Amino acid sequence: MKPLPLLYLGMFLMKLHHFVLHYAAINLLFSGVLLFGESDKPSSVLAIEKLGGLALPMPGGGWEVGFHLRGRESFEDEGLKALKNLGEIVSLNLRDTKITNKGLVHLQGLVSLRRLHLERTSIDNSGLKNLSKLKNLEYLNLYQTQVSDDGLRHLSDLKKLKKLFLWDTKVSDEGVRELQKSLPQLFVSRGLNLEKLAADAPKPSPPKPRASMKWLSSSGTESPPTKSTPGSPIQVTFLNKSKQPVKLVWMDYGGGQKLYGEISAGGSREQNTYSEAVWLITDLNDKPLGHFVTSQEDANGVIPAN
Amino acid sequence: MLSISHSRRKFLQSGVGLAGLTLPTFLKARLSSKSLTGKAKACIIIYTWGGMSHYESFDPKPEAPVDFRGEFKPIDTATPGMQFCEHIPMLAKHSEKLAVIRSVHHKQGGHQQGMYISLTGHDPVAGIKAKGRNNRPSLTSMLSYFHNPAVGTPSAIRMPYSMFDNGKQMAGEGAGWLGTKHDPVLLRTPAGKPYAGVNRYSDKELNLTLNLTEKRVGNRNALLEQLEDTLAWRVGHETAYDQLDHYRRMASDILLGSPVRKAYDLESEDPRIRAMYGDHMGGQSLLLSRRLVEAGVPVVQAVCSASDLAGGGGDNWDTHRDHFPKMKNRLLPVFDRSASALLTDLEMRGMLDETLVVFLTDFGRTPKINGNGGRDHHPGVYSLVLAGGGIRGGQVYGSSDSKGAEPGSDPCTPADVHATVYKAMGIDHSMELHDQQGRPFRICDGNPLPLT
Repeated sequence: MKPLPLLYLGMFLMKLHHFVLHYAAINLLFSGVLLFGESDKPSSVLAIEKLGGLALPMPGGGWEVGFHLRGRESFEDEGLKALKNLGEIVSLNLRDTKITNKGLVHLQGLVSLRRLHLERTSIDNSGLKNLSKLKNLEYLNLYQTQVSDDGLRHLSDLKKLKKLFLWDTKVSDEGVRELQKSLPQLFVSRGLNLEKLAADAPKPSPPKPRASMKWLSSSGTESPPTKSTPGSPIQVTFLNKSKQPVKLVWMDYGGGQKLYGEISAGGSREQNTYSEAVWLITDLNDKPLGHFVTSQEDANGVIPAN
Repeated sequence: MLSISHSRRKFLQSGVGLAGLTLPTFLKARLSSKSLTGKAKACIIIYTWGGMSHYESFDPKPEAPVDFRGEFKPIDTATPGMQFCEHIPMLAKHSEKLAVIRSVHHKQGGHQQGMYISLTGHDPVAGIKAKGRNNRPSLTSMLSYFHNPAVGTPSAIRMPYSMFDNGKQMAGEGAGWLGTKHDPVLLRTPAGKPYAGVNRYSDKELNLTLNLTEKRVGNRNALLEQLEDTLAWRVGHETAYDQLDHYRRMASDILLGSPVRKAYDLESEDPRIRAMYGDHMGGQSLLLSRRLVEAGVPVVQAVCSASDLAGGGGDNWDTHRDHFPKMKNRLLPVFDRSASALLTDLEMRGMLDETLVVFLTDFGRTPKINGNGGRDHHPGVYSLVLAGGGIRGGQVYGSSDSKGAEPGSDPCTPADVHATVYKAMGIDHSMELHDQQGRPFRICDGNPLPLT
């Protein structure tokens, strides 16, 4: 416990400074220093970061830009103008942003684009006409947008398009077939029908009536195992139908006895245990009354009236 | 105030940073290299703790004698000629996304040792300890070292708890000599029916649920006080101040409005999607994995098992006793549903091509069924699976022999699987890094398998 006061002192100091500079300093560190070194970061990259975006150079040349993380709260259509000074943009992620159909006008000139994320935005068919000249597009993600069959027609000249994601949109099977006539190599992902999924989901099966464990009375002839064996977890309920309170004792793996508690006359007790466990029931004077041995299944253990 | 800011920066650069390759250098190396073809931007590691049987999953042996093949039957998958165990029918439908490696083998027969080589790619030395700084970095932390996500976004998260064997926390899940800063952040899965058995939440895991309401986050002061109390209690007396500070900073950055905080709120997910993953911690952990990757976390590790093996009791994969009922009733249904849901979800959101999914486990199980109806530890041969991230699905690499005892063709090691992962993530697996004493370490001794 020794170093604790030091910790608290440290935390107190931290708290004092936290709001003023801590957050700002960390911001600077993570977004700037580690990646580029502050000095050599181009102003076009800084402009994108200011909008909550991230611009990374790609191994084969060109840039990968995304506003889908920190930028999704603040980024708006006008922000796309910041892309102009960056050079060739190969990949652009606008997922979850406030981009609108109008804003997509700024994409018309980005002819190097190979990958474009517009999923989970408010765009619909009228925005898609701005994409019809993006001849290098290979991947287009439109899931959870308002796009329908009419919008897909704007994509029919994108001969390099290989993957199109349309889960949770308004497109129909027919619209997709029509597009695939123009683009036979296109893979279209329609995703799941969530309504159908929910309807087909396995219904919880009615609870099976619980088995009762055999009562091995101490006055009987059958002698129980003297110790428990490790097994799988199960749950049992002990029901005391006798007219006296009883003690519940677990016979451990070495044969020792461990008291778990008392069950009043007519009372019951839920007990987590394992399969192949031996439970001993005694009266309050520790005189053995009987045993239960658990199995693989959850079960009841009824302590009989006599 | 400026001076404090300055010293903090220096501290992070010198104390926590490495003497080896720094990130700008890496970025330059990456840009100048033409050989790196990795497509994956994120990685989800699914770990089945205890050692998953290859027979009762991805490598059934219906032709073997009855005391070897067991009581389950094989089923056809969506890929002609590829068969799985009958109790993973949902994954069987995803076989066109999976590269199944059936010839993995190593020499470590104990849980600690098998888990260490599976997660770090290196044989353990004697005396390794859970928090040892001489340990090899886990795959999770090593992958995260090459990523630099935005502020408030940890570069690696693992959940829902650490792996233990009879109360002892295992070595191999941390960053080892990479340093505290690269230890994956431990996050508690906030929903789902827990795995039965012994689960140990004794580490520094973050449980953000309490802090999620907007009102509280708005009130930063109250929030930080609460956080400090929680972390001081959790981290306790064993931890140095800088480590506490690292977690504290990370936690406050997460809480103060990063996308990760929203990702953690599983209540905001479509209930039908939640149902698809299943109302179990296994499923909800993988759902959280997808949400964290979406939020910009590059590496996520989910343990799909109870946290402590506890002598084989509980829902873990160490099935020395009652192997068949336990696999059929408890382990495989949760695993099958969760992992299939993840693949479906990633695919329909257009994330699978850039998200690598890696299935890891300690080792396989023995060919011959033992006297207790169980299978024991068997590192001689077992199966691992890769999906997404540019990996070609619908293929089997290597094979085990007719009884599933040894590699039959194309034997490979956990290190080879790691090398394959590094390559898919665009990282040169043969790169050398230096630990804090300046000693050089090659990040991986394996060779990439031809799975792309």
